[in-house]
This record gives sequence, C-alpha cells and structure tokens, in this order.
Amino acid sequence: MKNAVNTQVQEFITCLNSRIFILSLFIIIISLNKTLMAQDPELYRSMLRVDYEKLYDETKMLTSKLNFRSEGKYISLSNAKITFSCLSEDGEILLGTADTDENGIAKFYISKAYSIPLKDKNHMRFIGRFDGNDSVKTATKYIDIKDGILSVSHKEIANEEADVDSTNATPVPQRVISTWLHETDSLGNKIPVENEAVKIYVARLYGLLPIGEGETDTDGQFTFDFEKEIPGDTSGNILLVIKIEDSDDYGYITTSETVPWGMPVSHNVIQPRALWTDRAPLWMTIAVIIVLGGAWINFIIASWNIYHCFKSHPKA
Amino acid sequence: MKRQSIDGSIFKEFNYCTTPPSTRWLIIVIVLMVIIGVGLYTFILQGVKGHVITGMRDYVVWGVYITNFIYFLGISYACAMISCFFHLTRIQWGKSLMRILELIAFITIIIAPVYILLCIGRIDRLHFLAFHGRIQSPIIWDVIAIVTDIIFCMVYLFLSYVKDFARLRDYTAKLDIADWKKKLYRKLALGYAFEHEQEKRLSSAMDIMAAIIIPTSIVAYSLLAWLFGMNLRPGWHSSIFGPQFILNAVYSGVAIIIIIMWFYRRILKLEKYITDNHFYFLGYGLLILTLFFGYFVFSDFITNWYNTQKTTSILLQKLLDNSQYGIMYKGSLFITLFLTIVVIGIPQLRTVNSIFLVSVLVMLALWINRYLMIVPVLETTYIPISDPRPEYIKYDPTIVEWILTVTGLAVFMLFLMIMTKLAPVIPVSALEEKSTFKLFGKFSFKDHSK
Repeated sequence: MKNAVNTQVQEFITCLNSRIFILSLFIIIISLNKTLMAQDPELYRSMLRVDYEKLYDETKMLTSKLNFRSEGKYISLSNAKITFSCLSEDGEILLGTADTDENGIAKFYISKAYSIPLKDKNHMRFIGRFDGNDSVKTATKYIDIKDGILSVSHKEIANEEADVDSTNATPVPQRVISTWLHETDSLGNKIPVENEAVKIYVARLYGLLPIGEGETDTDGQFTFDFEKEIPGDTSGNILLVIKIEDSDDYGYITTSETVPWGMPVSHNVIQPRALWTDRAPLWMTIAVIIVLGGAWINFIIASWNIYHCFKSHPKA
Repeated sequence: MKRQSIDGSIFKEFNYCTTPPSTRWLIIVIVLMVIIGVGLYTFILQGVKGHVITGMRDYVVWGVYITNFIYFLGISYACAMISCFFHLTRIQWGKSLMRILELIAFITIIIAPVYILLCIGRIDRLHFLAFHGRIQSPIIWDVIAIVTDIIFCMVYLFLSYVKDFARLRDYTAKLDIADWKKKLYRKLALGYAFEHEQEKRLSSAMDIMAAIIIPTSIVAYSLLAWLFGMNLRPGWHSSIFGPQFILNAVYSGVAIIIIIMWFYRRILKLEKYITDNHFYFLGYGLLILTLFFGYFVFSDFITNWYNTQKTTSILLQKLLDNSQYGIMYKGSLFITLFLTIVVIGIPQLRTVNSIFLVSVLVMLALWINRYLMIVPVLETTYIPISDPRPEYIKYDPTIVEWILTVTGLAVFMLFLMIMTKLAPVIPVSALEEKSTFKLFGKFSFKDHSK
C-alpha cells in the first residue's frame, strides 16, 4: 500500500516536472521571441490612397494620401517619395515621383500634351507606390479610370410670361446651364454617360459656392436653371465651376464657364490712406518729403558752391 | 586774391604715394585679387544655382549676408558721422583721422549693399523696388537712405581730397613719376588754385555736406533698425532698436578706426601724425561706448526677460543655452563689456597695442552680436510653418557664404590700399591750417577774422 502511494507520488512529481519543463521551455521561447522581436521591430502598416482629377485645362492630377497606423491612430507620413506610373498594354510606364507634404499628400501633374496609354479598351490604370522606409512598410494602390469629357454651355431664353403680373416691368429671361458628360470609344464616337452626379459652383475669392446639383440623364445631360443673384465683377461676369466628384469610373472632373449673370460690382473704390493700401498716410508722405527734401536741398546748395568753386579756373 | 604759395615738401613724408609700389604691396594686392576672383566665381555660382547652395531656408531667410550688410553699413555710417563731427568741430587731433574715416565710410557703403543683393532670391525682380515700391515699406526707406548716403559720402570724400590733389599736382609737376599719375592729379584737382574765393566756396560746401551727412547717417541707420523693428518677431519688435543700432554702429566705428590707424602707423611710419594720444583718446571713447552698449543690452534683456512671452522665452533660452548660442552670446558680451572695461579702464593694462587688440576683439564680438540679433530670432517664430523640416529650422552657413564674407573684407582692404597709393591718408591741407593738439580743449571753430 505504502509502495503504491509512493509510486503515485513519484508519477505525480514526474508529471509535474515534465509540465514545469514544458512551461519553462514555452516561457524561454516566448522570451527569445521577444528578444528577437526587439532587435527587429515590426514595421508599421501603411495605407495609400490614389485619386485622379481632370482639371479645367485638361491637365490631369494624381493625388496620393499616405498614412500609417500606430496605436490605433492613422498618422500622415510626410517627406515620403511616391512613385506614380500607368499601365499600358506593353507594361508599366513610369510617370514620375512626388514627395508627400506634412499631411501625407503628394500631387503629381500630367500635362495635357501627354497621351496617357490605355490598359484595355477604355480604361487608364494609374499606380501609386510607396517603397517603404525604416519604420513603415511598402504600399501600392492603383485606380482604373475612364476618360470622361465634361462640357458646359449656357443660354438665356426670353421669358415674357414670367413677370407680366409682377411689379417688375422688365421680363426676366430664363438662364439655363447645360452640362454633358460623355466618353469616347475606340472609334472616336461620343457615348453619353448617365446617372453621374454633377455639382455646380460659383467661384468666390476664398472658395467655391455651391449653387446646384443633379444627375446626368440618358443623353449624359444635366440642365440647371440659374436663378441666383450673385455679385460678379465690374461687368457682371461670374465663373461657374462644374464638377464630377469622386466617381468610381471617372474620378474627379472639373470644367468652368464664365457667364454674364452676376450683379455688376464696382471695385473702383477710392482706397483710404493707410499702411496697407497704395496711398500712404499723409503724415508719412509729408515726413518723407521733409526729411529727403531737407537733405537734398542742402546738397544742391553745396553743389552750387562746388560748381562756382571750379568753374572759373580752367587749370585742369 | 591768391593765398601764399604752397610748400610741397610735406609730401616727402608721404612719398609712398609718389613712388612705385613695393613688391610686398604688389603681393598683397595679388593675393586680395585672387580672393576676390574666387568670390566672384562663388557670386556667379549662387546666381546660377540659387540660394540652395547657401544655408538660408524657409525659416532663416537672412543669415551671414544680412549680418555683413548691417555690419558694413554700421561701420560706414559711424565713420562718416565721426569724420563730419571732427570737421565741424575743428578738433585738431581729429584732423589726422578724417581721411581714414572718410575712406572707410565710402568703401564700406559700397560693399554693404552687395550683401543685401545676395539675400534676394529673385534678383531679376530687383527693379520692382523702383516700379512697385511703396513709401510705407521700410525696405523702400532703406533703399532711398542708402542711395542718398552713397552719393553724399562720395561727394564729401572727393571734396576732402581736392586740396591735396591740387597740391600733389603742383608737387609732382617736376617729379619723375608716371605721366598718367600727373594727369590724374591734374584732372582730380579740377583746377583748384588755392584762391580765396575757391577756398571759401569749398569750405562752405564741405561744411554743408558734413552737416547733412551726420543726420542722414543717423536717419539711414535708424531706418535699417526699423526694417527689423517693424516686424512682429520676438527680439525685434522693440522701440529702442533704432538708438541701439546707432550706438552699436558708433561703437564699431571707433573700434575699426583704431585698428586701421594701428596698421597705417606701423606700415607707413606715421607716428608723427598718428600719436599714442590718438589711441588713448579713442580708447576712452571706446570705454564710454562700452558703458552705453552695456546699458542697452541690459535694458533690452531685462524687458524681454521680465514679462516674458512664450516665444520670447524660447529665444532667450536659445541665447543662454551653451549647446545652442550660449557660448557665442556670453563670449561676445564678455569681450564687449568686461574685457574692454578691464583693459582700457586699468591704466597698467592700457597701451597702444592692448587698445588695438581689444578693438579687434570688439569688432569680432560686434559681428557675432549682429549675427545673434538675426539668426536665433528667425529660427524662433510665433507660428511655425507647415513644413518644418530640420534643415529649414536650423541655420548653418555654408562655405559659399563664408567665401563671400571674406571677399567683402578683401575688397575693403584692396580699395584701402589703392586709395592709400593715390594720396596721403593724412589730410595734409587740413593739417597745415592748425596744429594744436588738445582733446576737446580747444574747439578751433572756423576763424572768420581771416
């Protein structure tokens, strides 16, 4: 009986020892792993976003935004080189590089004159690539874009009925802005694009004032009645900005049109005399005249003396 | 009425003007011209490559160049003021120094504006200053002031030379010297014949010029101070900046005249005209200016330190921190305040050579003082820029900036050497009028009884 108990105790101890050994081994492995990790710290994961925008003058702009995630927060990575390229049927073509700013944004412009190759029938593929650094992993992002063409026109339609019963005797014409969005196929035929959101703005000094929005119809057309009274320049001109924003197929497209539908505003305001205008304060002008005048009048008197000193003595 | 004939024998004491240049003179000139050549190459290089080859970036847009600009301009205005003061007060002992002062004033006012051109990123738009300048801008004030002062200094320098040129014309007529030099003296003398009417007109013109140069210099250097003072920056936006600039200028002006005087006395053997007393008198002047300088430094420091704003506090911290600008700041104050007072104030330490050495150190310390007035301030902004890369924040002058600084000194020395070969550095005609030598003892104002 006693032997049986001893045997059980020994088995228990052996079992315990083996478990302690396994546990110790596990702890050692974990520790070693941590030590190894400390020597080779894990790189932060980076996130890259690439956007395409077609500007007023048909210049294309690629915008990338680079972030990395640390302790649950997204942090912008500045001074990072982003390589932009596009894909053709023959392979990848390098477009150029741009550095990110303090917000992690890098912009790259493609001239209107450059013919961007297509990756297939009607798609362009733009690729943004970050090659990584000592702390942040590499990242690659591509977008497939179709070349949308956004055009705009404006017209005034005489509307004699509109104001007949009002006190205003002058008929107000109907002012219509028409926009069309289309793409072209390989044969050069125009294909209207429907169901794309179009936004219309008026350019102001510090930004764009939204005045309307809607969707293109089956003809790719969106028509908007301009009814606002908005201050323009001295001739009443205002700049309309029409945008397609964040489209899955076309990215961003911007175009513009100048229309004479604003209220003329005279900018010929007489500037006050001030430090920040073209007309100096009067006291300052007088002070300058006195100081400079005082010095130069005396100089002229001295010069008069010098002239008379030497004029009658041609010994030179 | 022609005055008594002039004895040209005095020029025998200044025969370095009429003899061919020595080998040593030629070697120094060649060395200086090589330095200037390297400087010109660097100047063109900067013009082609732009400011990227300098240490100037988005934060510190002014560095060593503007320091040199302020420094040279201060020396110029101070020397012009001191020279005109000596002329108007007719202080006899000051007459020996007038020519040296005028030369320094003229040469430095020619060199200084070049440094401001080097600060301009878009030199091709320089003419915009003339076409689009606004009278409210301190930069326009400064441009007008500098142009005015260059003209005034040039005319005054020439007028002070006319009598000596006329005497050299008469003296060298029978000497065996190069014909071109004889012709040059004849041309430069402009037919001056020492007639009473001429002397009266010339004296009157010089008096007027001296009287307008003093206020013009004060106004011009104050305008430069206001160029900084009108900026809302820590350490700059101060109402005592104008007077402090003027005092610093006069301080450096007195120091440099001591240095140049020492060299002239040693090299040209002018002990008869530049005596030990000249050094002691100017040394006393340096001592008095030291006390004023200390007053301004203390006043500026305590005002900033007492009711300090956050940014001003950072600036003061930078100036006192030895790992940043502490050594330069404390070192320059040690020289300008402590060393000057000890060496000149204690009679046992006061010698011609010790005054000279202190002056050299003071010039160096005042350059550092101006550097510290510019660079740490520009590195400490109220609102940081959006892209603060390390190289944008910390300014480190490049070799290009140092080469062009040394070039400025070389041009200064070369001009001085050439002008010294042209005519005596002592205004001989002015000295012959009276030779009384008393410090403020006898103001021999213009004698109207003659």
